[in-house]
Amino acid sequence: MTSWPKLAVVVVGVVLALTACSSPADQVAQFAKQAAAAEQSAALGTELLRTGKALQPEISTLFQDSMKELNSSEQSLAQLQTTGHAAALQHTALTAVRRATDALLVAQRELEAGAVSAHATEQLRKAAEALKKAEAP
Amino acid sequence: MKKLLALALGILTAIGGFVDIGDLVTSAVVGSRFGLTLVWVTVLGVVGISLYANMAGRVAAVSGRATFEIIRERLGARAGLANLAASFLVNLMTVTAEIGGIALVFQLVTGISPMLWIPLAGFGVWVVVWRAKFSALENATGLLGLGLMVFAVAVFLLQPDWGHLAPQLIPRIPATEDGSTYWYYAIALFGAAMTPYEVFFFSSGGIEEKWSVKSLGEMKANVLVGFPLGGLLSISIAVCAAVVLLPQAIAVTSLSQVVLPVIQAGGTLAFAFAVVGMAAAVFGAALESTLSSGYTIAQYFGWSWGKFRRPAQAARFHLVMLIGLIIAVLVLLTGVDPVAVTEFSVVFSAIALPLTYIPILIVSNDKQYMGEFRNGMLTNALSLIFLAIILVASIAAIPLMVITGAGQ
Repeated sequence: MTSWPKLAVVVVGVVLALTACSSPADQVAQFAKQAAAAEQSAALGTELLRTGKALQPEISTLFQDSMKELNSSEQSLAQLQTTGHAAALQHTALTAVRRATDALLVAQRELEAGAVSAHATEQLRKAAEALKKAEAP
Repeated sequence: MKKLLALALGILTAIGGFVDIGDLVTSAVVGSRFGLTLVWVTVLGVVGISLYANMAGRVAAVSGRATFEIIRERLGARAGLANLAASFLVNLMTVTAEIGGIALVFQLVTGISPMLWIPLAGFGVWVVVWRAKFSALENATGLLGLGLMVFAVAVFLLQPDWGHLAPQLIPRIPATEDGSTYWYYAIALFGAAMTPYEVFFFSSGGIEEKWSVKSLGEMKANVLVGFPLGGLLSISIAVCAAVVLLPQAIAVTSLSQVVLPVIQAGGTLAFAFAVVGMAAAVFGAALESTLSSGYTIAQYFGWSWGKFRRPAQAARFHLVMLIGLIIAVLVLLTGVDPVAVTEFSVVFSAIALPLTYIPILIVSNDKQYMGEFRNGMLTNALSLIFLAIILVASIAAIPLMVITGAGQ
């Protein structure tokens, strides 16, 4: 008969094994997806600000939250140990995340100065698109 | 006429007070990732909380005693203590999440870091809990919480393609997500709807407001009308996210994203309503969960408790709440993400659900306490079905949390 402690060890083992199943390529895609969502929401917020629907403090907060997500995605991507095809995917995703961070920084500076330009909004959209492409393994 | 107004006020308060930071965040996250495929869970959760809150309210009205007093008496000191420890910890997580939620709402309006708002939010909750009358704090936050109805209005202003939305109501796992993540969020949503503090607050509130058998009709109306309408607000938040954020692949991770659909639908005016509604709802929930932490401890140890007493007459009750608030503020000041705390708090709520709901079911069937007002056959049958769901959710929560990396 299986005792409770043994059963608990088996359950924990199965759970940990399942957790470890995600491949490096899947993890790259996951972090790129998180970054894309952050950049896309910054782009949406910028558009709402430019059409006069949103207020500056809300969009400033949105930018801060998006920046936090981008930084977290970049750190997670950089820490991944990859080889071969996954390493190439990691490089593409990291480059896209860094470009997205730059685009967001520009938009943030413009917002602090008073308004976000159409060019900065376009750059945010393009960076989000690049991240979406980096999602596909 | 006066009775009718009181009834309407009670229902409106129940609607406005239904949503808290857990509902807000989880509904938006789920809507932005799973569309409407998890709406059935919210409906299930609302039926569950209505069923059990009604029982807890009935126990309070008939026996004149709150949930935890009876839990200790019925389960004994040792089992009651285990129950108290688990409930108190989950409650403390909820208080932390709500205080963090208040800070996040103020950040939305001012753009100033939530770290500044966290101590002020904690202080504000303490002052209100210390000074305000029970009915005043319940009614003010509940009524202002109705500002959240702007999410329901926004659904119509966004003019979604209803033909595209309707099929999403059928429960299924979207192609972009895997099964374990779907079930993890199903449990989170269920935990958010059935948060234990709501029941502790509801039953203790019954004692605060001196319910008797005569109050049963009013209590039933609050629960059976107010809670389901409150649940519709949660669903509206999910629909808004499903209409605006899901098509753009924006998975919600912050409160600033939750309000984007409302802004798109109605601009700054709609945003103002949303902010007032969110601030009131989250502040109200912070008050309720703080009071619940005082209620559970004081009721278990048999201390004097209640807002109907002066603080000096219920000093230990107030001290527990103050300590709880200080711990919540200190935890948040470590820099932990309030949204992450919220997500964990709803899952841990799901884990602790059986500890809250099994004793209520036992007591509401107890002839000695309830007499002719004990549960009927239908209520018991439904309660047992929900108890089975609660047990499954509670057991599956931690494995799913580990497998999915907390829903990543």
